[in-house]
Amino acid sequence: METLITTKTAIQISDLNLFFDTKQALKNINLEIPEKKVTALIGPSGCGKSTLLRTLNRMHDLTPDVRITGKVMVGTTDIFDHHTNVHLLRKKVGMVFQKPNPFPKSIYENIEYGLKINGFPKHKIKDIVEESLRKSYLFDEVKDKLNEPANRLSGGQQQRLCIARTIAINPEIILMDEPCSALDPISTAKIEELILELKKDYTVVIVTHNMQQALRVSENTAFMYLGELIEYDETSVIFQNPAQELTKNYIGGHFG
Amino acid sequence: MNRTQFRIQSDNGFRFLFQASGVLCIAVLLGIFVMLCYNTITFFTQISPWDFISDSQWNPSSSIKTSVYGLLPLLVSTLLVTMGAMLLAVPLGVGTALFISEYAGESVKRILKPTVEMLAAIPSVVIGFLGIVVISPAISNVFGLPNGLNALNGAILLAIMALPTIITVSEDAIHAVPYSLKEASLGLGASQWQTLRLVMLPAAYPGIIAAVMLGMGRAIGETMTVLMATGNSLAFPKGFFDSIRTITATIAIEMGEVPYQTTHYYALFAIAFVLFLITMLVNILAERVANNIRKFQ
Ligand SMILES: Nc1ncnc2c1ncn2[C@@H]1O[C@H](COP(=O)(O)OP(=O)(O)O)[C@@H](O)[C@H]1O
Ligand SMILES: [Mg+2]
Repeated sequence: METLITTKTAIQISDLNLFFDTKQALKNINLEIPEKKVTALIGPSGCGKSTLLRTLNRMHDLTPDVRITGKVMVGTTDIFDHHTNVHLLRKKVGMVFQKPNPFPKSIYENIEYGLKINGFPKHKIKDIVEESLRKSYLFDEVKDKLNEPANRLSGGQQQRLCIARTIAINPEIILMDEPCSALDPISTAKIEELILELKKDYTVVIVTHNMQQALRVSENTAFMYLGELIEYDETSVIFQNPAQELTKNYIGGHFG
Repeated sequence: MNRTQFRIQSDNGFRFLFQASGVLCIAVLLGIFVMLCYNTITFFTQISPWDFISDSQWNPSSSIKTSVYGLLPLLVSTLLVTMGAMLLAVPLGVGTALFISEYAGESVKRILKPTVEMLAAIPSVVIGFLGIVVISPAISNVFGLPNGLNALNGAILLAIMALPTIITVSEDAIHAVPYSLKEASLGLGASQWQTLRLVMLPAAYPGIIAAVMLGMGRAIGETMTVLMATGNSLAFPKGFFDSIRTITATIAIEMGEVPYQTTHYYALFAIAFVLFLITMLVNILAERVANNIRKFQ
């Protein structure tokens, strides 16, 4: 736990409860996510990983009948505060989704979009587009077809485009919800490599179903079960020497 | 054994039935087309195509010497009233569709959607009636005109008639845009309005174009309403405050009285053929545009 204390905190979650109508999906979550590291959320399907992740950029605002109690601090911002601008929050806390979801526009326009709506100066857009494509290891593959529809790219390329689109607007935190679950092993390896590169500049929180992936990319891992946070520690500890019996069973593949 | 045979036979029977109805459709369509073409060609053996296109008057009379069959006033009338209708109906219709699919709560939606569909069920005669007794007087009051039976009146009524189609089809198109695109946009910090305008609407574009074209098809081909509400003056229309006479109204008015196999009779087929060409062109254009956009989806 020492590293958690010595590094700065990017996200501080305190006593978080979330209800879908009457069904409680998150139960009293307390979690401190360190800056510029990769934090993995693991746990069996339906345990609330996505729900927790989507709380962090207030994506639940879209869903009717959601009730949230508790507190989430992103940096010094209380995200549930009335004065918090949700658009600025989402610019700061970017999100990459499970299924690649490029806009039905050209490759270039996909990245340009976020820059435009966030008011980036026009003359800088072209450079930022190129830079973010380079950062997501996509530039060489698409540099000759920036004006082609993004949906002509392969699934893996589309997901990297979505990452490029996210980092283009210069977030501090990137949330990834099983970003590789729809991809083949080679594309997955590329994205993992990219994640390792991203953590130099960004705080990454990644939901993954793939235990090996958590092991490969993350410093810290949180294990969730039935809406509760069971255990949170350095990834090596979670995988080699977990404190909780439940964690041990899950890591050992006894359920999930 | 018997059951199997029966099933095979009834299978064949039904296939024949469906085939026959398909063939019948094509035959009817072809028949109409051939009839249109035949009569139109006959017309052009009597009146030169150039006169038809360039004459600025439609003035049939019993003697061929004094008759003038100029398409222009009718065509301009039709286009004027249709464009006017679209100018009103497209923003209103797409806006309503956006409201229904993105802003309206469940209860509002439950009232609004059936209401819109009911609007489509109003017979065109009733709409024309509304034009004569309500909208036309209103127009003459507001704009200080002696008579409100003009192109504007027709455009408003046709807009009302095109609205249900535009709203329903657009709403389906907007509704069909994947939720994941909305999430992607909002996740980048976009507002709801930015998301609507820059992501949802463009993604729904092919459907919205289809909606507009369907609505326009209805407006161009509509007869009863314009016949009742636009005054049917044969003078060349100069604007929305002029009384007009559309192609459809002209056919409806004159077809009942014209002696068969006369130049006048053939002329009505010729303008019907023009109407057919316009509708076809609109459809082809719509398909083109929609396909171009679909490439990105
Ligand atoms: N919009 C929603 N409405 C109601 N229940 C939901 C909604 N989204 C998720 N849930 C429920 O919340 C629980 C957690 O879901 P989720 O966070 O998606 O799990 P995970 O990502 O860990 O597989 C599940 O039981 C799921 O059925
Ligand atoms: Mg999930």
